[in-house]
Amino acid sequence: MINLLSTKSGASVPYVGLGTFPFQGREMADVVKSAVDAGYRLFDTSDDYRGESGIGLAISELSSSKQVGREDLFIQTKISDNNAYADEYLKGVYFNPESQLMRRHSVEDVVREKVETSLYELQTTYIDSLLIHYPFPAYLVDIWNVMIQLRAEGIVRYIGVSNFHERHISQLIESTGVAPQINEIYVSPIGTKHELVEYCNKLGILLMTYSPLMDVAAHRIPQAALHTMMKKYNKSLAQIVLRWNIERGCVPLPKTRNIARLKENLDIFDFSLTSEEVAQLSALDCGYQYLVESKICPGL
Amino acid sequence: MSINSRVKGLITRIIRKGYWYNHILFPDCRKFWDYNTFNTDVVNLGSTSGVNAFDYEGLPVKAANWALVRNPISADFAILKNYFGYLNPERSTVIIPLCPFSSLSGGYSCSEDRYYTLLYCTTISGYTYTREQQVMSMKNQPYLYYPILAVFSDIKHSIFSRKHHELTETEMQVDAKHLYESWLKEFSIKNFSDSLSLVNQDALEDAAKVLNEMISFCKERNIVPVILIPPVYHTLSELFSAEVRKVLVDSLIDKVEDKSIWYHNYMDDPAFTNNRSLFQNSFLMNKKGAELFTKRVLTDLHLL
Repeated sequence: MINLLSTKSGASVPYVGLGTFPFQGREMADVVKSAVDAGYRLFDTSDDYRGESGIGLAISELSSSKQVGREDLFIQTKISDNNAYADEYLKGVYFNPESQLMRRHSVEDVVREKVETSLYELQTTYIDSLLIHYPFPAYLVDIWNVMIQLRAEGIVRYIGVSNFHERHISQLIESTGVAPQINEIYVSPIGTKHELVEYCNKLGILLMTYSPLMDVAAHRIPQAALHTMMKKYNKSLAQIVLRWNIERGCVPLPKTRNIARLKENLDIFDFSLTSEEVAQLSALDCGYQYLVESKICPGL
Repeated sequence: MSINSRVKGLITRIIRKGYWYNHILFPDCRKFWDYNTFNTDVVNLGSTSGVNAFDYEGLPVKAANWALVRNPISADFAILKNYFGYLNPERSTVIIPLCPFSSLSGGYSCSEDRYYTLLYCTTISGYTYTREQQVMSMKNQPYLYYPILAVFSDIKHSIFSRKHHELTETEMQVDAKHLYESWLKEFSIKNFSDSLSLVNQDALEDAAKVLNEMISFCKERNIVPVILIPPVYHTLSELFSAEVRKVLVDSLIDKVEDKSIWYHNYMDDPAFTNNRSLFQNSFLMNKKGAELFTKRVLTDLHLL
């Protein structure tokens, strides 16, 4: 069963969040506000998505209208090797052993500066969940140590990782004794990552899944094979796949700005799949991976 | 689309097919730009000799030749770090081909322009964003940079590229002597009985360090690393005396910490070294030789 996440006000966070890349600015603010109206509370972004300021705008406008306060939302962002509102000249500067910045400043200074920037952009005094975007070789343990401190200081409520494999997580645990609370990864019925999911579930690490409907949109999941299931529950293929995520202990983070789809993606809590149906979906696994992680984070 | 855009697009397409773009500006890069085979079981890295020693066409194995011409061993590691996501996560094999002078190329870095089109910024020595912009502009808008004189070599290679001249035994002898003496000059070696120069000592240490790191990297990721030296024609191998081999080959292999790594020196293998029809010159194999050698290596590794 999925570990519960709660907002600072103490409310439980629904098991579906909103993936927000690549929305920015006014568009981002409007999408976030529509999602809040639909019932979303969990919003996923990153310091290199250029979207934090749009979420900050939404937070500010929602708070002003007294609709939903900051403490009723769950904002998740990430530490990347790029930076929000940094120009592209900062490419190759962060978490690169060859960069002057990393030679002249401590990892703690760099991480704290990045978190300060995120807080400013998000117009908030705390981050609900902070993740390391990729297991940057040579830096992941140092970054993790700073994140542990940030959580102790109350600047961050949950700390976690993204795109981490078993060996990266075990490296963090062995080095610091502290396990991540969240691991955000890509999974799909055609790329189930069974062993990693089992590993995280066993350690009580909450899995979140980015782009959970990408393979539905790209018609890579054979709809005909799941027609009976869709008919049985009167649900769309997207809803079946999102529910499959939840049955496996994963919180899906689908992205959409379409209001009808925002609602549809959240309308998955009135049914559940049987273990046989979960297995039927998982049997579509062919080890599919759409991103070449090693090209984004070499040596991960 | 405007006429201007159409003309630019047409010129770009023509330039991208040519010798200048694919062999001078971005040699061997296209295979990486186009690579999209997940769960690859076997790849080879390497430099010019690796490019010419492996050809997996027609073999019942999901494999790829990831060698690049004039590629130092540090760039081999950078390529592996960037592209290992394509390898079969359950188990795969990475062939690391060395050539006699690999041991002295460890000090080179992968800072050539072409690496900007292949590698992530953190794995490019001396990376700058400004240079990346310039290189990517060359890649995407080559018509802005095309040297007009290159049109002659482009035409020449488009006409004559498929014609191969098999060297005679005498030509092979001359070629081997020329290559060997060029390497001695390149690496400033006067006499192999003298100790290596400081620069070469550093390069050897660097090469050994990278090789050991590469082996550890592989083993942590279910990748089986193997090391080999491809065959050369006998006119060249005969120039490498026992003393030379000790300095250039054994010195590096001896520094491999993990002694369980599969290693084989095919330099003088009788199945190849005396067969002139398998070589384009005394150092590099031709397509026929590469196909035969690849089959032999995969058989030796029990992968066929």
